[in-house]
Amino acid sequence: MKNLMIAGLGALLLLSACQKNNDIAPDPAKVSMTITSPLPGQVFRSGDTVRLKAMVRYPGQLHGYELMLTDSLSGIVVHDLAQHVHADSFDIEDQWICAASGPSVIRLSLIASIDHDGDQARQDFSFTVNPH
Amino acid sequence: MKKIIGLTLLVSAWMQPLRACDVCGCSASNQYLGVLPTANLNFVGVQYLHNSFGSDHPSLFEGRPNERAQDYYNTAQLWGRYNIGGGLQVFAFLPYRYNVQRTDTGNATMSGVGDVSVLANVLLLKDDAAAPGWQQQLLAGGGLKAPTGSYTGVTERDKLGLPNMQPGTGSWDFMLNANYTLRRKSNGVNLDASYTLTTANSDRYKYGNRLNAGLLLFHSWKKAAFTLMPQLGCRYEYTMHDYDNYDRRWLNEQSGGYMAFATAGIQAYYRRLGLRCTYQLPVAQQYASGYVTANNKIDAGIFLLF
Repeated sequence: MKNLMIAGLGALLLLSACQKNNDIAPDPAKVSMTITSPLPGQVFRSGDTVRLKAMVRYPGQLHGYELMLTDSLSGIVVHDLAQHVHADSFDIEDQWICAASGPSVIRLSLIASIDHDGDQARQDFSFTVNPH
Repeated sequence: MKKIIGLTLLVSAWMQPLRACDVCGCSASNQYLGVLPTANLNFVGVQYLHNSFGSDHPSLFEGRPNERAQDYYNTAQLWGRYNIGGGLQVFAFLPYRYNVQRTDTGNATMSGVGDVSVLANVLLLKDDAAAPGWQQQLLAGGGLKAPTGSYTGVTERDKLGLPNMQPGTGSWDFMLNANYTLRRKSNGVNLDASYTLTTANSDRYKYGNRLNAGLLLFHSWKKAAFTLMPQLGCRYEYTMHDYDNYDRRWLNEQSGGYMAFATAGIQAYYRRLGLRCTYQLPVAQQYASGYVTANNKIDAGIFLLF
């Protein structure tokens, strides 16, 4: 009985000893980001619906993404989609209705978070919204 | 100025919130037996268990508020024990779970039948109850938890905070347990430990293996057909990290940890009817990298001996 209990405790210790983590070392250069809509420099009119479509790929685990639209002039964030998701790929689809009353340059920023320590990859470009 | 404030408010309304992350690893299934009624009798009962966790996780993205959530786990469980021969006890558990997650940005509710578990324990040691002096009882065995509970799978959005909210785990798990009771006259001590070995489910998500151990001191008062048994003790739970993807060994280091509870409970018996109620107060914990805080636990049940 004593031996059985010792063997049992030993087995539990072995099972609990360590957990393997095979995730790769964070490398923002390995993050592939493809934004298919809108395109850099594209021009929209106020009231248009801007489709936001992007793909993020990475050979390891990603921890989330943020897709943000910022009015370049005022610095105000006009649309923000953020998800805390653990996966190696994100297919992002969203939309934004242009609400500018005057000519605006909108900066699109796509940020992929590789870990919880601040390692991120990002892509930025601008498009224009003109009044109707 | 007013325009800027108005525009900011409007923009804030458009902003889609960041949903809470799965930092918990506090899957609801964490079965333990504790002090059990008379070994040679079978029983069937219903039990209600409630526990909750609060989580506060820094946002991954600059300038965003922390991701906060309150998770409430409620389980109503049908369970029972059946003796086979003189030395084998079979336990079965059929839970129904109702789990709620409240966040700053919305609530999620998941409910349904949980995973069925079956345990078979061998009575390794049992002293004659009528014998004078110390009396011991040792049960040990193992069991299986089958993925019978509802598990909606892990989609990109749903996996946010939700693997632990699912009524079922989608995985086959194996359990080992031992339960030792030492009595002298009306006083006694109970030690129990169970270890759950999990496997990955079809979404390759693997909940962490779990250890659950407890110590209870009890005293029983008998008057005619009525017995009252107050209990005091402590309980320790240790959960290993979950794997987000077990095939690729993606360890979720923000899950798992330990919790220690002070426990107080009472069991009451009248003829063949039994009641039990336990309250657990967390006294020490380090869970999900410190982002998760366990709150009080309570369980209460009624059972019929036959």
